[in-house]
Amino acid sequence: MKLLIVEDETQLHDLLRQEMRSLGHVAEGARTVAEALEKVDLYRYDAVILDIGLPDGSGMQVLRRIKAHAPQTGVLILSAKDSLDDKLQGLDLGADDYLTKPFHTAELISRLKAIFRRRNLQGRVELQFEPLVMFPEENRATMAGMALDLTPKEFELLLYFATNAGRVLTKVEIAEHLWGDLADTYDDFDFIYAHVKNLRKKLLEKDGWDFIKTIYGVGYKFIAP
Amino acid sequence: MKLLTKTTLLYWGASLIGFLIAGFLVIQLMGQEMRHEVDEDLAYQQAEISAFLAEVDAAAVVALPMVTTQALPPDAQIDPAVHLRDSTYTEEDEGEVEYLPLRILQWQQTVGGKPYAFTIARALLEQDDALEAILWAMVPVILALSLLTAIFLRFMSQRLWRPFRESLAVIAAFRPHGAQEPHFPASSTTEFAQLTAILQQMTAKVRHDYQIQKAFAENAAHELQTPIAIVQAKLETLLQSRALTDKDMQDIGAMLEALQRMRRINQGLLMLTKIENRQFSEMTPLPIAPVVQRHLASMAELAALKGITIHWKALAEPAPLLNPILTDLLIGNLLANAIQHNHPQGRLEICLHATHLDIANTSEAQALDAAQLYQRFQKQDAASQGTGLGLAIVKEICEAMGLKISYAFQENLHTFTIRFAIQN
Repeated sequence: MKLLIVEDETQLHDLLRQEMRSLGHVAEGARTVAEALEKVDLYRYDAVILDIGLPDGSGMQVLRRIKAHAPQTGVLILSAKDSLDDKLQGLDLGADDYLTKPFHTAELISRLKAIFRRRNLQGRVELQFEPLVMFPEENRATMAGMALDLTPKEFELLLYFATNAGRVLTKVEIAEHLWGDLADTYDDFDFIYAHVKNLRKKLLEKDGWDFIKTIYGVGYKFIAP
Repeated sequence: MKLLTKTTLLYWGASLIGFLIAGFLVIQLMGQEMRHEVDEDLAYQQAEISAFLAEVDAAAVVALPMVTTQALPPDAQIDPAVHLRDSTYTEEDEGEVEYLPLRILQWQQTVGGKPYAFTIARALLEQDDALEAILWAMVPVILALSLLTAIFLRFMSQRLWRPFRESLAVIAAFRPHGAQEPHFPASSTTEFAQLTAILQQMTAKVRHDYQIQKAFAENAAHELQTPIAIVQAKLETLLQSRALTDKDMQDIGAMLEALQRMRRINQGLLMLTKIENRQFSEMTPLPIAPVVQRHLASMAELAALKGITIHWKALAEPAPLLNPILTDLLIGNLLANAIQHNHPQGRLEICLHATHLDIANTSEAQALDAAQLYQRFQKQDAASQGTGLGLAIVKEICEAMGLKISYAFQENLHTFTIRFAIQN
């Protein structure tokens, strides 16, 4: 995938581009509205990760330009302010999704992939980790052809793992993915343990491969066979 | 006691003492004057009689009217001096014996060669009568004066002290975070003008300091977001490195958890400043029951995990004027607290009335300290992962929307009650 990262904060900018590259994408960057507009005019991107708070203006300008010239481009908005106005305005203008800073990289990856799936792949969308196949748009999954009976939260969890396959995911980010702001009411992450345990059991029932590896003291990792 | 009352009472007290002393002095002086008059009169009379007696012989003595005569022994020495003194005479009045005051003058004189003692007398006006007369004269005067003074004082006080009372009212309503600068009344009275000047200066300073402090907290929290974001992102990337030992990974995990707390505290502080800034000021009639239900739905899982039974009753369907975002946060925070601080297999009871919402939960903790409850970073359980800002935010929200929050601990239930403004 060809991505454009529009972010003025250097550390974050470099980190995002690096992360995207390590996932196998092409990631270009812009640090100002002017730079971003230039790039958007010249090139086509599959998706743009767009920060709203830029030194020479608002990312909304870039969003408008993208929607005018290349409306099929997926747009994920980032912002340090979690003001409702920005969020609503961005989504109204046609952004696909919105993330407030600071965010977990895995969360960004997950949402980006969701945007890809929705925009770029027509017809059935599948995530394949033979023998596990997931149909994100249909909220179902099969193992070796047999349907998996998963609760909504379990499916969410599995999808999050799958879209971040091979990545160590901390309990914190898993909690925040599943429960958002409520995550901080869950003191000891026991619930995460419970959900993962159940999910694992259901996966193992159908197949011998333990997709989910525990990283003690940290979290979990999804490993494809 | 009000200033006016004090002033009036003091004035009356002083006046009363003054009048009493004056009255006493008047009576004394009048008494003395009367006596003096009488004495002069007697002296004059004595001189006349004496002159008359010098011309006549002894036989005339018998016929003197108003004079008590007493013959002295022929060889008695004549006392040349004239004696004035007080005496009394008795009078019977309806069976009662009265002693009435007299002033008598006594002298001795030879008449026709024979010595005699003479006494003339005057009745003094009864002191009682005098006193009565004076009092009857004075009392109405005093009363009238007192009344007039009181009326005058009251009238003048209202006008003179108005700037002061206005200043008091302004101070009472003063809030450092108020939108408007307080305005203190001008006055031609020196002291009140001084007061106004000083108060104006003082409140300006308080507001200024408050703004600075607030801006600082806001800026600090805002600035912290970026470094926190960077640390978090880099640690998460680091975690993916294959060069780490298990111990390394655990350490990084611990760092990320601590960072999460930092992030949440920061977010909490930012939220507090936003609420204080009245950034969420739009109010619309908002039905409360759906908000509660929505939160209960999203927390159902968590509650089930802890085995908490939830009793939710809506006895009414109030829709007070509220800001949707703040209300969401308010109810969300309270419910989350109620679950978090609950013990396993505990109870959560929510009851919505027409005028208030009760949220009650069981807990292992005993009654909370109501005074400290809403302070920032006050945590019931110091070890818990919470930010300690939940209730501070709740309190700030209530203040922003004009709601009243109260806490009670009864029958093992910690109950928070939110009262809405009564709609007409």
